[in-house]
Amino acid sequence: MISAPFDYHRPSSLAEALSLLARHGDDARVLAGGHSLVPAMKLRLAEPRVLVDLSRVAELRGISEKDGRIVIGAMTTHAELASSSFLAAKCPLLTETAPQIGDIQVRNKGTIGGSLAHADPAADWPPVALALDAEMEVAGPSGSRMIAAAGFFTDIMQTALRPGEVLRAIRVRPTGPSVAYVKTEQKASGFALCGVAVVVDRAANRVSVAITGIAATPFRASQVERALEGGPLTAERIGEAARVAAAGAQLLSDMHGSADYRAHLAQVNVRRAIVRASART
Amino acid sequence: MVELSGTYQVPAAREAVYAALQDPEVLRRCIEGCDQLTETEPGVYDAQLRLGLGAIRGRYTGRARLRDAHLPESFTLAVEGKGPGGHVRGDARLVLADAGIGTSIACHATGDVAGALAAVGSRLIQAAAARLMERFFSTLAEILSRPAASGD
Repeated sequence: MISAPFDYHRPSSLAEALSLLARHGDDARVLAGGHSLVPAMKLRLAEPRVLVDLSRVAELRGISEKDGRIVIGAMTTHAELASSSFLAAKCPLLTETAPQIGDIQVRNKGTIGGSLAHADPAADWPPVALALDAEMEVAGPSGSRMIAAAGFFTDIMQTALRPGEVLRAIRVRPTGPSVAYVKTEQKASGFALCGVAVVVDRAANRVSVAITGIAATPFRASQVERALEGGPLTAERIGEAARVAAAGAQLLSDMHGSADYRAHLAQVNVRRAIVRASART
Repeated sequence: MVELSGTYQVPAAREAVYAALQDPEVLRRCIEGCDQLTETEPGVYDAQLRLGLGAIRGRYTGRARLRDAHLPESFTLAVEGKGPGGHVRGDARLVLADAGIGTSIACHATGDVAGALAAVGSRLIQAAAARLMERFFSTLAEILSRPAASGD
C-alpha cells in the first residue's frame, strides 16, 4: 500500500500550477482532494511521476456571486458546500447533494472540482452540474475558456479538459427551492448505483433531469424532460415519464448491479426525485 | 469475470481483415495505450501498454497467443497481462464473415482480473474493457478503409 515514487509540488498560485503542468506534461497529475487519486496510487493503479497539489492555491477556493451567477472555486470541499447557508438559499441542489457524497473524511478533503475532473461514472456532482446547466471555467496555458456541462463529460472518466488545463470554477444560475437529488448508493463505496438530480423551473414550466451511475457518462434524461413539457406535474404524469428514464442508455453492468437493476433504479429514482422536487415550493 | 461481445463491420475483404489482425503494427495501433508490440515467435505477441481511465492509468506488459486459427474465418487470442495493479487473463474469439463489400467481425471475449485491480476496480473494469474493444474495432475499420496507411 505504498505508492511508486513521485515528485511533489505545491504551488501557491494558479499561474505557477499551470507552468508546472506545462513543464511536466503527461508525467504530471493534478492533486485536488486526493480521495480518488491517492488510493489509486497506493494500489499502484496510477503511477504519476509528478503531483501538482492545488490545495494552497487560494484563488481556486470559495463561493461567490458574479454577474448573476454563483461561482464555486474548484477546490471548494464537499463539506464547505454542504454547510453554505448562501447556497442553501440560492442553489439548494448543491447543499442537498454534498452531504450524500462518500463519508465525512471524503467530504472534508474531497473537492467539487476534483470530482468533476475525475469524471467517475458514478460520482454525484456530474449529474448536478448537468441538471443545473453549469458552466466549467477552465484555465490553461493559452488563457481561460468556458465549457458547458453538457459537453464536459466525454466518455468514462474522460472530460473535455485538455492536457495542461485546470478546472478553475463551476458557475451555476441560482434556482428556486424545487430541486432534489435522490440516489441509491453502493454501500461499501458510497458511489451511486443510480443518482438522479432534478431541477423544476416553475417559471419556464420545465424539468431538468440528469442521471449518474448507470452509464459510462452521466446524462440528461431528455426523453423524461420532453414527456413532462408544458403540463402539470401530477403523480400520474411523473410516473409515466419516469418509465423512459433509462431509454437509449448503454447501461453499465457489474457485480454491484446488473443493467436491468440499474434501469429499474433509474425509473424509481427519477420518479421520486421529480415528486420530491415538485413538492418543494 | 468480465464478458464482452460485439459485432463490427470493417470495409475490407475477409482475407485482408484476417491479415491485418495478425499484423503487429496494425494491432499496436488498434490497442489504445499500446506503446510497443512485437511478434516474438509465430502467433505470439508481446506488448507494452499504458492502460487505464483518466488519471487511473498504469503500465502493463502483455502476451497474446494465437490459437485455433482457421484462416480466414476465425481464431482465438489468449491474452495474459500483468502490471503493478494486478493481472488479467482472457480469451477473445473472433469470427469473420463476408458482409456485402466488407467483412463483419463477431468478437466474444471473456476475462478474469486479479489483484488490487479486481478489488477496487471492479466497478470500472467492464466499462474500461468495453471501451478498449470499441476503440480497437473502430481504429481497425479506419485503417482498413485507407489501405495505403495500413503500415507495412
